[in-house]
Amino acid sequence: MKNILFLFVLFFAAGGMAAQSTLQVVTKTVQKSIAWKSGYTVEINCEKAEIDVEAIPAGNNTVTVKADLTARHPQLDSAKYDLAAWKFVTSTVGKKIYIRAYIGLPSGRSLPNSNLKAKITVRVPMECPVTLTNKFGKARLEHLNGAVRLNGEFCAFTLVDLQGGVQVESQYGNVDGRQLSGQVELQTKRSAVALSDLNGNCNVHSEYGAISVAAGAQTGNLYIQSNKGDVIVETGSLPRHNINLFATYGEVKVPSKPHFETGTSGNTKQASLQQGTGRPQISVETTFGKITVQ
Amino acid sequence: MKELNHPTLQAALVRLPHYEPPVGVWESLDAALALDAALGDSAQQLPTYAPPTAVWENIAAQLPTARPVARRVNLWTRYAVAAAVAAALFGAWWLLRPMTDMNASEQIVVTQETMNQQVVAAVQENEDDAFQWVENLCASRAPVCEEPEFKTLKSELDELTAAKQNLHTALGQYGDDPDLTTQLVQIELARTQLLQEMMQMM
Repeated sequence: MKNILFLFVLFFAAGGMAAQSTLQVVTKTVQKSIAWKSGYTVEINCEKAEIDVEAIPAGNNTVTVKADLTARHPQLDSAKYDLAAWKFVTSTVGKKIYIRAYIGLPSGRSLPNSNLKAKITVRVPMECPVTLTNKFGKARLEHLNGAVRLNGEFCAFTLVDLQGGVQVESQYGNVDGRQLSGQVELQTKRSAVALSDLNGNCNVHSEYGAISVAAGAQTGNLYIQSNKGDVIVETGSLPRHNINLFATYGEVKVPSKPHFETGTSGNTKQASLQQGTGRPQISVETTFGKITVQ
Repeated sequence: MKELNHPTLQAALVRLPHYEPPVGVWESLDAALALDAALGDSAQQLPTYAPPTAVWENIAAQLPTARPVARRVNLWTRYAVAAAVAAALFGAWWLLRPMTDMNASEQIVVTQETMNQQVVAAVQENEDDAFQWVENLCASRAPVCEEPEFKTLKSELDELTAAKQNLHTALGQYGDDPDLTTQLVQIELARTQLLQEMMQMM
């Protein structure tokens, strides 16, 4: 009899654990199309969102948005109830198209217990400038010719083939950029930065984050300032740039060829490669960080 | 109306002082009245002259412009003006209004997912007691907590702790996002590094 009772208990306990690890996912999908004209910009403002911004072929003057807003909870009723906390709004005011996904709670209502997430796909005309703000999520933008301005907190950015210049402010969110043209400006804190195929000038100001930049033949002036973070600059065996490196309370590591002039001034280690005037510059300054050129 | 205090009033009037006009006043008045009468007769006999037209034109030019007299507006005109104003306001709103979507659709779907227990366990890991120990130490105003270098480390630690709490709140009880959890682990590593540096100073 005791054995049977034990089996019952075990059965219900196992069932309970399984229920705990299974989440009921309630997803509200919203799709919208918004008229676009030349000169209009798109402003995306979200939280807990995974955002994709893609380009649509030229001539299609429409911005389309698809938002999957989810609430995840072991209890279906709770998930359904918490789903209502998601607010998704699109509007056009003047020449700005606003897309917002946020958690809006009426006064007095407690924070949702469910895990809330959004997946938002925005398709814009290629030349449309985009401004994006996101917290706790990620954002991927690709194949855009308009200017891009990004602001994130705990938001990882992946940027591919952006031709109209990029400006990024990021805290606790890594920035991975490839094929970037125009002026690239990054200001990061506790974020790793990786950039390659840069076709213009680039400035990076970073704190507590590793930086890796591939400076190719098309890369213009590159200026990196890093506080408490290591910097790696890849130039290849025949660097096109003149290079100046300054590491205060840090180290500088350069290849044996071409020959860098090295030295130390106080607590700062320096290395320099000057190949004649008229060449673009690479300038790296670190405090408590190591500089590596390879 | 009948005067109630007639005797009192009479007595007061009797007591008022009496004055005589100065000598010659009556004669002066009489002479002035006679002069007016004489001028009145002479004025009737003066010739009449019409002023040149230019005089009136000059005077008219110097006069301030008269304000137009407000016309009486009838009720229908008022209605028309009100309608025009309303139409103008509506037009302005129409141009500046938040534009509605060309088209929109919405649907709700329920599915099930298995929570990634390994990720959730990493998120819900208890705070190491050593962090609370440092908090208690500084709350008791230990001398080491007043050292500038320690303060810098503590400030950094506080910043990371706040970031960790924000991430915890965002992930919630059922958060199993691997990317955010990785970020959380990195923060925890940085906090541990700071804690070690602080411990070495004690």
